[in-house]
This record gives sequence, structure tokens and C-alpha cells, in this order.
Amino acid sequence: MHHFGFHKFGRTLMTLVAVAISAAMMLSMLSIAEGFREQSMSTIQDSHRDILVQAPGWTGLSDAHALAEELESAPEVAFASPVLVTDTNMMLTLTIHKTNTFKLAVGAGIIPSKEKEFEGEDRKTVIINNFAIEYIDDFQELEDPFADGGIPTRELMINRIFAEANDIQKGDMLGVNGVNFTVSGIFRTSFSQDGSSGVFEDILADTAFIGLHLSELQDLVGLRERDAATFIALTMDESVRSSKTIEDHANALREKYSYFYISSKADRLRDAEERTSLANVFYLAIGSVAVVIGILFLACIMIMSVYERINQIGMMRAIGISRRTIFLQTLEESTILVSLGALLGLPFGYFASEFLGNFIGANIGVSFDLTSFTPQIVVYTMLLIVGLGVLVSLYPAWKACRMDIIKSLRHVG
Amino acid sequence: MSLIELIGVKKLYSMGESEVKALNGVDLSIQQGEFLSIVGPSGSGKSTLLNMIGCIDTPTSGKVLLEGKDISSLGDRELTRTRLRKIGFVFQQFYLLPTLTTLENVELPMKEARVPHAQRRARAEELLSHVSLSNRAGHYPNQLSGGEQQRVAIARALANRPHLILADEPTGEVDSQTTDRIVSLLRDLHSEQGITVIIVTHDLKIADSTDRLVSLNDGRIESDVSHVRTDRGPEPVQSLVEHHKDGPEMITGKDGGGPDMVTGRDENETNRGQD
Repeated sequence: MHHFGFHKFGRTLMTLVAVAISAAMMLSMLSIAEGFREQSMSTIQDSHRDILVQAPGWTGLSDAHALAEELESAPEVAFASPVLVTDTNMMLTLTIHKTNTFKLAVGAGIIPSKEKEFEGEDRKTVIINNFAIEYIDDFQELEDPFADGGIPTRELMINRIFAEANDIQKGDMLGVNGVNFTVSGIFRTSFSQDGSSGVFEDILADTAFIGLHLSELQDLVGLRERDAATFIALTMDESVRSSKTIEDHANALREKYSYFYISSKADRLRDAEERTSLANVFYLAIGSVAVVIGILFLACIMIMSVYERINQIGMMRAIGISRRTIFLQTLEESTILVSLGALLGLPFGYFASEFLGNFIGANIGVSFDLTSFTPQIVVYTMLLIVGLGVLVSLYPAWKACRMDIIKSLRHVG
Repeated sequence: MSLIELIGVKKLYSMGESEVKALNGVDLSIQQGEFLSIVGPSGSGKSTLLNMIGCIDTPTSGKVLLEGKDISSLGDRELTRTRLRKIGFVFQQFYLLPTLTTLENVELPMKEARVPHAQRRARAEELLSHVSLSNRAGHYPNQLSGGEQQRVAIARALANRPHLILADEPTGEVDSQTTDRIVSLLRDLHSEQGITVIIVTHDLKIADSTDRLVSLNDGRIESDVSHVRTDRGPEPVQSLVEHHKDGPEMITGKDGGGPDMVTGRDENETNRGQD
């Protein structure tokens, strides 16, 4: 089939490059969006926290130990672990004796033995609010002795970034709300990348993220009497653990504890999907701008190509080439151009997404892979670009086939 | 039945508020197998007349009958099909497609007519051989001279075995030597294959080599002269050419070189539109 514009090599190449850049931009944006989504989803998916029991506010649950035991007594539940997470508003302050400086702290109170049961002896990773904490060291005391009137351990775990930024080592003494604690170990989070200086690194270097025994954190923030917790996490017994049993048990808990907010893994996945889809709109918008520019470029080239070949079109019509043939020919030309451009954009898109992923990762300081270059993204991008390319080419194709033969033949370009 | 018959054809164009009469009542009858030229000054309506005959334009009033069928009654699809199957066009600027080879350019109308690949390839090769361009089959138009390009255009015009070849100033862009070759090619087509050939030209030498000369002025047929060919071959009607050089208004059939050489057609029969 004859194509009007392909003999203009430079212009054809320019169009291919424009479409390829659009495709590459769209691909990299989508792969970043998909990377965030996958990360968010897999954290929930991989977690052993099948059901969360919450009440309004950060410390909405009372009698956490007793409630956890009650929840754990159900035969289909393997473990129930109460967790207290404080925020900066709770004015948890940390004193670094060595340098005599004060920092704000965010604390997570857990029962280490419960968490170990949750995540397995070898996992050493705790998920708190979809935030992965990986222990390099461990609590010396795994139970929560202070809760039963025992002696407080006064041990805490501290985030690696904060520890390194403030020259804190294992065994150092720190004051938390005026009470002295020994650093028994270091943990790291998924928001810490070795050697990076991202925004999360900056935040985590300035704000102490600490892990304590649940009852000792309650004591520090004045919630011990109420035995407050942020949530209680449940893991189903392995023998009955399935999406259906999780959902059934969550429904049973909803009936029994109507004043609590019960969320199953599926609920949290749904929430995460909603949260990430909002971010996806943002990435999609950036990618779309690039696509629109590329496609408009293609449309302009096609219109120019048609007007430049008025004589040829006039001749073709005069010798009996039908309008349909000319229409399809113009459309075919743009389809080939846009498809080749999009194909050319694939490798660029892959490398661009890798580059952007590393760049953003290094800047915000995350250790997980920020991009996900999936076949679905490739297919979606190809369909979008080729579809739009064909759509905008309808006009030049229509113009070409409707040209007046005599005027076309007489046209002096 | 005439191959082409124009009856009282008028064509008006709007130029802003004024109207231009490109054709002002033309009556013309062309039989199958004629070799005819249309001459006249610029703006006389030659090309408009050719466009009517070639089914790429329709009259404002009057009738254009092609093989007895009124082209005004045909839709775009039928007109396109008629042009594809029955008419071959040769343009002054050749209009070969630059991205196709010589062979592919010749194949183009056959492809549209859905001629099977092997068949159209063989036909295209045959046609290129006919115009002595077999050795140029794989060349692109920009690798050919003007005369060669025009010969390719003639081969393309012949692709679907048309009844009629319409050549609009076919030698306008070539030198005099090539002109002779192209005219002789067109004449051969006419004499060997009986194809009706109509040439619009400014070149009186070419006009003189045709069997019939229709002269237009101001959208009317001013003269319609047939040459009577003798055994001496296509002897030019020198007196007619001489007259034409002084201006088209001088040409009339009656001023020709004598009844043995030139036959002035019955003006009442062929030039009804002038009245």
C-alpha cells in the first residue's frame, strides 16, 4: 500500500520519536503508579495480620490485654496481639544524654513474643500500619512483664537512621519522657535506603521512631491504667486460614463488637487500592500530558502530510481510486506511525521507569522497588496511544478522501 | 451510439459575487476510436471540458453522456468506478507517486480494481515494455527523466484497458524530442488498439497531428475540424495551423486547407452550443 508521508524521512523520524517519548513517559508513570500499588498491596497481602480490631482514635481500645485474650480464645484464631502507636501530638520526648539534645519520638508498643508468634521466629519483620519494621536485633525480654505488675525492662529498639544520625549505639542510655531506657537493638524500616538521603531519611533522622514493650509505652504516655491500644491484630489458625474464613470471622466479630471497627485483609486491600488509585490519577495525568503532546504532533504531521499531497490525492481520485481507499490509506499510515512509535517507546519506557524509580527512591529514601513494569501496563499504553493516534487521524483521513478532485489537481503547493 | 456526447453543456463557477462561464453551451459528439485534440487559449474551457468528459466534474446544465449514460445521474462511487475502468488520465505533471517504483505506479489502478497480484504484475510489465521502460521497472520517479515519467503515466493510464485516454497537456513539461515520442506513443495506442485519445494542448504541432481538432474560445466551440488522412500519412493541415497562430478566433473548419484535407463539420450539428 502506498503511504503519502513516509518518504519524508526526517519528519517520519521526528513523529516516531515524539510518539515514542509519549509512550515512554506514559509507561514510566504507570510503572511507578503500579510499583506503589504493588508495594502497598503486597505489604498487606504478605502480612499475618488477618483482621484488625480498632476503635476511633489512636488509643481507642481499652483493656487491650484482656480483649486480646478474649479474641484469641476463639478456636479459629491463632494469635491476637495488641499494638499501641503514639504520634507526635502525644509529646513523647527523647533525651540523648551524650549530646544533651531533645527530639520528638513516635513509639510503637508491642508484645515481642506475640509479634514473634505472628511473624514467625525467622521473619523478624513486624508490620505496623502497613509499615514494615525489620529487626536487626531483638528485645531481650520477649514478654510484657510490666503489664502483670512485674519489673519494667526499660529496653527500647531504635530506628537505624535516627541512631546513625545521632550517634546512638546499642547499649546507650536514652531518656524517654524523663525515664531512662537502654538501647537494646536497632531496627530498620522499608523507608530507609542504604546510602540515600531522601526526605524520609531526613524525617526519620530528626524524629525518633522507637519500639517498646506495650505496657511500658502505655506507662510513659499515661495510658497504662486504661490499658489502651491502637488496634489488636488477629491471625487465623493455619488449619482454617483462608480468605473466606477470615471474612466470616470478621463478620462474626462485627456482630459481636459493633462498636469496634473490624477490618479484614480484603478490606485493607480495598482501602489500599482506593488510596493508590488516587495516586494513580496523578501519575496518569502526567503521562497523559505527554501522550496528548505526542498525539497532537502526530495529528499535525498527518494533516500537513495530507495537504502537501493534495496533487497526489487529486490524481488518485481522478484515476479512479475510491474515497474509501484514500481514507483507509491515510488511517493506515498514521496507525503504522503511531504503532512503531509506541513500540520504539517500550525500551525507552523501561529504562525511563527504572531511572525515575531509582531517582525518586533515592530522593525519598525507600528501599523497595518503586516501579513495576508489567505486561498489563505495556498493553494498556500501547492500546491507549494507538487508539488515540487512530482517533486523531480520522480528521486528516476524512479531509484527504473528501478533497475536491479538480481543486486538488490544480493546487499549487 | 457515440462514446461521448455533450449536449448543451454549461458550467458556471462562482467567483465571489460574479459568475464565470467556463463552458457556455457546448455540443460535442466523439465516436469510439477517435484521435482528437482540444485547443484554445487559457481560460477557454479546455480543461473544464476534459474534466466533464473524464467524469471528474459535472455540468451546471446540459448533459454529458458517456456510452449513452448521463454522468450527472451517477453518484461519486459510480463516477469513480467509471474513471477506474473506462478512462485513463495523463497529466501534464505526470503525478507519479514518489514512494512507489515505476512498476508499482503502473499497478496502482489495477490494485484498486482488485486485479490479482500475478496478473497485474504481468500486465504492468507488459505495459512498461510497450512504453520501452522495462529496464526502469524498479526505479523510483525521481530517478527518471520527464519523458520517462510521462511514459510511465501513459502506461498507468492504460492499466485497466480503458476505452478512453484523456491527456491534459501531456507534453507541457518535456522537451520537443520527447514530445514527438509521447505523441507518437499516443497515436500508436489509438491506431493499434483503437483507443479513443483526447489531448488538450497548446502545442499546435500536436494538435495538427491528431485526426480531429476542436477549438474552444470563451467556453464555446469555435471550430471542430476533422483531417482526412491520405496514404501520405498524417499530413499536417498547415493552413489551419497558420490560422491558429494568428489567434483562435481565426480558426474555422471552412478556412481549412481544402475539402480533401480538412472537413469542416456541420456547424449546426456540432456547435449548437455557440448559439
